[in-house]
Amino acid sequence: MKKKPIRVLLLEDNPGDARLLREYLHETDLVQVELDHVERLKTCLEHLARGKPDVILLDLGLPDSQGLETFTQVYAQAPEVPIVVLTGLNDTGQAVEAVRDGAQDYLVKGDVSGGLLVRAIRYAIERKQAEVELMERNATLNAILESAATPVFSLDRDYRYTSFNSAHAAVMKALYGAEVEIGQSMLEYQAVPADREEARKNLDRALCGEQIVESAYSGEPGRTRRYFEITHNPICDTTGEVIGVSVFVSDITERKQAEEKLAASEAELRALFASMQDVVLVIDREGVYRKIAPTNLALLAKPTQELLGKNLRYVFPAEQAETFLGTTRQVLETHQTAHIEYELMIGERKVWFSASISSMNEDSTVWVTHDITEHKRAEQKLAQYSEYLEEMVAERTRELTDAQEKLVRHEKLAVLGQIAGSVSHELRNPLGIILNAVYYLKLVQPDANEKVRHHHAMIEQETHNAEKIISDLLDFTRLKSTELEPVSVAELVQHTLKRFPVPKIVTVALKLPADLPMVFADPRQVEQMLGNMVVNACQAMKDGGQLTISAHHQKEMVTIVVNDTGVGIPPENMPKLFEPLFTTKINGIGLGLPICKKLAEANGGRIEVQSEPGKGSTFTVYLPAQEG
Amino acid sequence: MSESLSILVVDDNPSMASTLAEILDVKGFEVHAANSGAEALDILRDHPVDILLTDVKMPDMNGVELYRETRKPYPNLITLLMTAYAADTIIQQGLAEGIQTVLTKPVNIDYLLALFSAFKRIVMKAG
Repeated sequence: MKKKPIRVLLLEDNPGDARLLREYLHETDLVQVELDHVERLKTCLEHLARGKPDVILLDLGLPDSQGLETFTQVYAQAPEVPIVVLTGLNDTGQAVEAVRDGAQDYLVKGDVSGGLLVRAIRYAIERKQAEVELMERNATLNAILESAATPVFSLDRDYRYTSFNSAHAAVMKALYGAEVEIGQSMLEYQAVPADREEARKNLDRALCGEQIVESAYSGEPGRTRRYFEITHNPICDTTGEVIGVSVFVSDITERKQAEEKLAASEAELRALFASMQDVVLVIDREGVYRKIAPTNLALLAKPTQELLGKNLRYVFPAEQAETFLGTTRQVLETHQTAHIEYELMIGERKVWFSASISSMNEDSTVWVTHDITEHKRAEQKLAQYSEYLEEMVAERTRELTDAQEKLVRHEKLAVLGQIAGSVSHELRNPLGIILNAVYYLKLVQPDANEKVRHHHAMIEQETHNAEKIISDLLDFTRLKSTELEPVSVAELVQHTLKRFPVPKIVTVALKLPADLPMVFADPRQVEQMLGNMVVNACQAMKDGGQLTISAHHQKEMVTIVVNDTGVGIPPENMPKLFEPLFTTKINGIGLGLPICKKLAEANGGRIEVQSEPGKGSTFTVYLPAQEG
Repeated sequence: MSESLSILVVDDNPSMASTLAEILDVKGFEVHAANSGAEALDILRDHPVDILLTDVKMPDMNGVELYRETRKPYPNLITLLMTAYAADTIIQQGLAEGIQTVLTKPVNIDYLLALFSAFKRIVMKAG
């Protein structure tokens, strides 16, 4: 393959040197060369303006230009073309300077052979090509770096900038007000000592060969302060020696602030949870504990880890668990919050809970439960108290009603008493006259026939009955004062039976213990009371029966019990027995038992009655026993 | 002084006075009946009387007042009250001033007769 010829521009004013060089180039078979020769700088520059050769061979001493100036002019005109400087033995210093300023090589005239010249030209071309490529690559890299929004820079072992992009420059300006420059120590720009020390520490680690990523706030207070994630990579030379650090900076302030906000809100949430007295649970459609918020864990039936994944049945009795599961599903269907209350053993303690169940998503409910034990207790106490109050009110009402009834009865009785008082006088006279008249008739007609005598007796008996009614009325309305004295129960009973004789068809049994204490009572009143009972008992036993009078000692009271085997009292009449004017008797007006009650109370005692229809009645009189 | 006791029955109700008087008459007592205090005092002036049996409540004067009228002129007269009232302060006063006893109406005639026989023995002894 035939190679493309190398185009060489030779700038040489000495014709001898020029001829010699031309000969060298044409001698060699290694390359084909197209040589253009010019003798003046001016001509050279004109030539270059028309087209660029592959290489320039340049003599520094020309008629129109001398020394380094010649190189500078040519290099400026064609910086992309490799230049090999031709020099005499006496002025190699200028040639070295030219190489430093961009020339590829220099050759000393006289020392040049054909092979050397060609090699120098080829190397110059290759080197220049490599140099251009490198420059282009650098330019590309720089362009990339520049186009990057993130700051990138590199430093040498003394923290001096070897490169940086404009993003970094902008950041340094923003953070520290610095105008960074290549070759200056980055640390010098960092006005904040803490930032500087942090940077130095990280750079030193990177300079030891470590790749590190660190995050920190940087920036001067009062200026912008940003949070950066900084990646340090050691830069090594071909031997592996660390010669610098490349640094890639990403501004993650927003992310950091978002994280901080999140952390803060999490902390807040945690604090909130911790301060919550409630128990917060997530329970799914199947009644399984899914989540337990870290709130008042002391109120959990079991530890969190034990509960998670377990069913409601694990905590509650089966029936209750089913009910709660039903509620949970209902909440999931209706999306309506439900409220339940339940009792649970927490350790040794019975705790009442109130729970609000709301749907959280398709499958789960949130239970917010709190301890309402105190509330419940207070409620119960309140209920008890209000029950007590109600009872009190009921009792008071009853008392009031009773009192009112009593008052009405008293009023009724007062009127009755007045009427009775005045009527009795009026009645007693006619009754007295009737009795006198009958007495007279009996007296003057001792031999009257049976029928007449029977009628006398009837008039007499009924008049006595009428008189008894009047006496009862007067007794009831005008109770005489009670005169208490110690009396023997046996004596009282015997006197009573004498005053109120028992018909023959009734047998009498007395059970009066010999060691019974005396009672402290008004004997006449007690006898009247017992008499009433005896009369009642006999009236209940019209067809005969047994009257039993017994007595007992009960603590400080003595009871006298009058029992009959008569017809008994219908239950519906029991409450009315002691009400005045209640009677079931044809010729009674209903004052007997009310008088008894009044008398018993006047004597510091009371009366109780028990009865069974068809079997008989028992009246018990309680009287105070004499002390000692 | 006759064999039998002389009794004055006083009651503003004439039937009461008369029925009692007639029974006592049958029983052999010498009986006078009056229907007021004034009438009773008239009878006392004209007839010797051993026992005064008087109602308490009467229109012109009550039984106790009648008794007081008789005390000086007839210190030996035995007075008995009849009343329809069980307890009365007037009666209490009368009893305190010397009235023998008080009988509740309707008067138990057998009891009254028993009392009279007792009084008769006293009066006869005194006479």
